Amino acid sequence: MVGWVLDLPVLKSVFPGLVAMKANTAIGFILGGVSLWLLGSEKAGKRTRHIGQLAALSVASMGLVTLGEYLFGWDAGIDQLLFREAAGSVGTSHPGRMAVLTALNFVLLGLALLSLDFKTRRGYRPADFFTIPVTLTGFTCLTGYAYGAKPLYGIGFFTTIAVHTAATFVVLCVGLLCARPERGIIALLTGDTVGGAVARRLLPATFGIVFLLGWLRLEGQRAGLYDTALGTSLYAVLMVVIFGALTLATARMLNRMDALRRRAEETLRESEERFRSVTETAHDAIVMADQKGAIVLWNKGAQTIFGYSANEVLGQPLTLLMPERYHDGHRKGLQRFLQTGEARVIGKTVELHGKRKDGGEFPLELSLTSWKTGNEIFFSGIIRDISERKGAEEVLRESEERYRLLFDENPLPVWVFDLETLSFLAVNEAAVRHYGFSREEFLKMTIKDIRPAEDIPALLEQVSKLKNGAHPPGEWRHRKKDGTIINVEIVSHLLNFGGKPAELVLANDITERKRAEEERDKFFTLSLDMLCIAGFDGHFKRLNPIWEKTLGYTVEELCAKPFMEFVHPEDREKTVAESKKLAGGGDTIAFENRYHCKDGSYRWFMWSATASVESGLIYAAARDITERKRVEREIEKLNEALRQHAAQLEAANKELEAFSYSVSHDLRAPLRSIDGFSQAVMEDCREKLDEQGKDYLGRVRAACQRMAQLIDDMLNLSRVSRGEMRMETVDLSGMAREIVSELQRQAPERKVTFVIADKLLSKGDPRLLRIAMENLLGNAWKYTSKRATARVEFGADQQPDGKTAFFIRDDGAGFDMAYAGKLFGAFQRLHGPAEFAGTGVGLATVQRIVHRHGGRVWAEGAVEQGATFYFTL
Amino acid sequence: MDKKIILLVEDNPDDVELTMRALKKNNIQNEVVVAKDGAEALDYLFATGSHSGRNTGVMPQIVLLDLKLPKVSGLEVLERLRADNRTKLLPVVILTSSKEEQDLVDGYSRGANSYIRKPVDFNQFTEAVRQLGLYWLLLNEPPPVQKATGAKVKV
Repeated sequence: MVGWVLDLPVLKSVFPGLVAMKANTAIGFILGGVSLWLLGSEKAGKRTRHIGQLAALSVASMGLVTLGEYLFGWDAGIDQLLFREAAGSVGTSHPGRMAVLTALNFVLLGLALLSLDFKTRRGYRPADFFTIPVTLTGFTCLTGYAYGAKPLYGIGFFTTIAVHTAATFVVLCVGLLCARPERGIIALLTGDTVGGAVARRLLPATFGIVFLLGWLRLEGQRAGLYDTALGTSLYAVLMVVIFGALTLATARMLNRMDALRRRAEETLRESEERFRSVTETAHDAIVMADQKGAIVLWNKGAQTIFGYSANEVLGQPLTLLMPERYHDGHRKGLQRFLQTGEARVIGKTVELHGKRKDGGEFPLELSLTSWKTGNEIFFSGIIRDISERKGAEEVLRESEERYRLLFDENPLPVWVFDLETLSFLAVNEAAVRHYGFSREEFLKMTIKDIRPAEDIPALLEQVSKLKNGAHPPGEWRHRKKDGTIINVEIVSHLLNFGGKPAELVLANDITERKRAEEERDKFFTLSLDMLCIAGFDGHFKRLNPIWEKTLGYTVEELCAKPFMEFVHPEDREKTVAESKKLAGGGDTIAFENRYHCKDGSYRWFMWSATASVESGLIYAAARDITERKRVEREIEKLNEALRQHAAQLEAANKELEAFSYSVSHDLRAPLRSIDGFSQAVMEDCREKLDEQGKDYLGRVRAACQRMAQLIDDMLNLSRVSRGEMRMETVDLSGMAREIVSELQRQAPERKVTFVIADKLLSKGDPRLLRIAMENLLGNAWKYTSKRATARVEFGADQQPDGKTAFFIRDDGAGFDMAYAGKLFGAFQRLHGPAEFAGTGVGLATVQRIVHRHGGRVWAEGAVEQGATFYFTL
Repeated sequence: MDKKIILLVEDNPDDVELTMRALKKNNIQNEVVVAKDGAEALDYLFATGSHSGRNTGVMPQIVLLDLKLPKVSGLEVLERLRADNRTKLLPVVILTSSKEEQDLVDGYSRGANSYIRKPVDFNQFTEAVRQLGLYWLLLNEPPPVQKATGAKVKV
């Protein structure tokens, strides 16, 4: 191109007189070179690739257009497009137009570039097919120039190929073939194969020697050194010698290679054989898998262990051999390894569980390795069934566990400490639990750390004794992590712990017990009952302070003599008997005796006691019941008085009954006589009596009636006080209606409205309640008798105390509340007999009846305003 | 009027007099035998003591018996009558001052045919005697006379 631009013939045609490389040809080379450069790298970007392909397409198009010009004789105008070439230039049929072969080569070269990465289904590469003719054409043209054989670079009268055009074609083609060294012809040449080796050895010779010899032979003849026959003969002989030697050398080389290969194959076979025998005879399972996790190798051991035959598992995923719970982890691990190369299991030996064909799990030991072949990664695993080993381990572990449990699960805190450093060497669970320190904390501490500071000197002294072999159990104070001080009872024992003299310590927390003891002692001191412990020897051993207060003796005085000497002489016999009973294992409950006081008096004690026959001790509690005894006697006296009183009362009642009986019979008889004979006198001596006499006799008779009425009322009154009560449910409403109808029957002319509440029921004696109701209703009837109309009501009210009060209310004469207290007195009247008849016994009777029922009766009223009588039952 | 005897057992002469007067006022003219106490009543009825030899085939139409009597009480008399075959059906009316519940119960439970309390009012007493006579002497049919077998039958 530079040549054309500057019009330098040297650059256009190399040698004067030779045909020039046409400008289009130069452009074609530049485009081809650029295309090859751009497409040279397989990893070129899409854009770069497109530009390269565009350049290649331009090259092919240019060749194709030029070919078209030659074939159809037309001028497309591209020949002189850039530079004009004078007509009649050397070897040029059409000025500026490239040679026919050049055009054809450009077409092939363009196609080769376009199809650089294309490959047919059978593995042929069209690029190679396009490239080889171009190479050969170039080589042929160069040979033509070298040997001076024009027909080799020019066809007929058409433009010939310039020498450097041919050379450039060869260079471009070599570049093209080398662009993809791993493929096609170049791969064949460079490959590590026998063919490659032969090609590498023979091809340069073929090109170089044959070309050189041909050229020498021609030049020699041209120089007149020999004629054609001799030249040809020499050429043939030299060819035979050189190629013969070359062939022999090649054969030797091939033999050497063959031997090497065979040896390598032998070695490989042996190695495979060894591998096979190892895999097949191994008891362990040897399993290989590809990078997808599919099984590719399965030995007999695997079959034995897992139960699957090779046919069943080959190609199956490895997860087939794992329990479900490992599946996820396996998949993730595999993925991670393939992506990042991070291996957790590979290269290690791990213990896992496998799953047999029958579904059973078993413990296994797995050694996993991976390797790479080409692009493939493989995994191989050696798997050992360790069920049995596990079993043995289990037995050992259990045995260890049992001994560990003796220590660790001991309910008492146990530890071992170093006798030299006093550090804890081992602590059990109970210690951790009880003291609040963690095991780790314990193991960093010394036994001094669980003592209150003031106890440490004593501790150190004790430790020094331990070294001398003394291990007396003792009571100590320990400090928990939270600062609580506890009382513990320590039992310890010397032992050799990991080669060091150490002490095994059992600590029993007795804080609660101590507290209980203290509490018991407090109660013992505080008790108001007398507590004592006495020996079967008859002496008190321990007494609480209340003894001193009760008896006046000091505890020392009481303990000094046999306790029997303090017992009242009259009670000694039974006290001795009771003591014997206790000594025989019996218990004493509510035993009573008297104890002597220092002031000479005696006090009554009531005893509860039990004995411990083994220790010969009596535990007893006594209560001072002197006061109770006194009260009991008092009550007995009172009861006696009461009994006498009751007897007297009964006698009085009997007397009263006899009196009533007598009154009932005898007091009335004289009245009858008085009345009867007064009447007889009135009848028989009518004529002899004046009006006054008749009046007097009338008065006598009236007095008799009153007297008889009084007697009857008195008897009734006494009758309601006597006799048994028969309690039942009484319908007071019904009773009131009966009484009212009787009253109305006696005086039907009276206009009295009775209002009687329904269903008033009460518990009581029906006979007595009837008398009370008769009296109350009778009173209401009587004291309303002076009214033209009257209203009498029977009802019930709720009292503030919740009791039901029945009432009978009238609107009659009423009474003055000032005399309300006198209403219920026997024979008490607020009205004269002239006003209202009556003896004054009715309300007294009512009161007695109500009182006998445990009730209360009261009245409210006002003069001429009526009265209301209330009663409860 | 044949012999419908009234046996009045009454210790109080006033009451005897008043009873007789009441009977007379009511024109009851039957023979009235008065026994001053229980013992005499029994003698009369069983023809013993001062009444020995009396024909026990003849029994009073009615016995008016006071309860409070000397010697043998009214209730005891009643008991004896009811215990004897000859008198066990004899109509006995207790005529007394008391109306003590105990007396009523005792009287009826020993077989009294009636119980009347003597009112203090003489007019009322007369009326009571009138009705008593009318009923027991005229209306009431006496039991057939029992054979004096002397055998005692427990009632």
